Amino acid sequence: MAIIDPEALAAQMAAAAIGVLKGEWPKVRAYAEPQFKELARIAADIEAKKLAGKITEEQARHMMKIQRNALDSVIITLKDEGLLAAEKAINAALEVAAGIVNAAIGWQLLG
Amino acid sequence: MTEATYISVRRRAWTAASLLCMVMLACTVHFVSDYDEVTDRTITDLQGRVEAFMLSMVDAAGTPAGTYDSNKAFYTESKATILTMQSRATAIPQNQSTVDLLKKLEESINELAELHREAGDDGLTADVAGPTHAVLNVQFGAIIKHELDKKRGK
Repeated sequence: MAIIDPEALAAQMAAAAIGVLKGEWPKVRAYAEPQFKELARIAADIEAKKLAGKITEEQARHMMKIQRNALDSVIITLKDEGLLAAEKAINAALEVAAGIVNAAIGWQLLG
Repeated sequence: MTEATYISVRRRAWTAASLLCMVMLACTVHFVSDYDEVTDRTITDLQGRVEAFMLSMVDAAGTPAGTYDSNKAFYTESKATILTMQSRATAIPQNQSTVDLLKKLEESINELAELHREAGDDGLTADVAGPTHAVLNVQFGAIIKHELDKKRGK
């Protein structure tokens, strides 16, 4: 049975980022929120495929690494626009995701 | 004030204002590099080639044409394109963000190649390629947006 609820995970990631950014969240939201949703969707997808025996740990790791690179690209763009706290906020969101995703899937995919 | 004196003062004021404008233009500080059309055009072209490749790999999954070994050339060419862009971006002053974005893209293409290689005879099935394709587009989008923002002076 699936444990990861993608909507709830994305919301928890956003809450962690808001905690760091506070007033600057509206400027970051348009970039970060779709990526939190995408990461949560991929994590839920990997969990379902693992349960169905359709994915290996190595494949899952590569998929998550590409997702992480996309988030890093968002951080680079935001920092260039002067939003220096974006990196700390997105890392806080990833820390929350790592705890949930790694425990649910049983593979060390994040963090 | 005579008319001649008045005209002379106006001329001097106009000359001073013009000089001030020229000095201000010359002293404009650039914190980010200028828009680079080659980067914009090359990354957009590469995105199109990656799009076409991902779609064709899903169609060819499970056949010999869809294996990593049959498609090594695509990865070699893509990496060569990105490395050439990195060299160009490095040579442009105040362009570190573009260099960093291109390095992240290079890393993702390497991950995609590994994903493909480890899939063996299955190739890049829709299960694996679908989410990866969407995320790669985020990276391409970030690089293109970053370049276009320079054009708009952001």
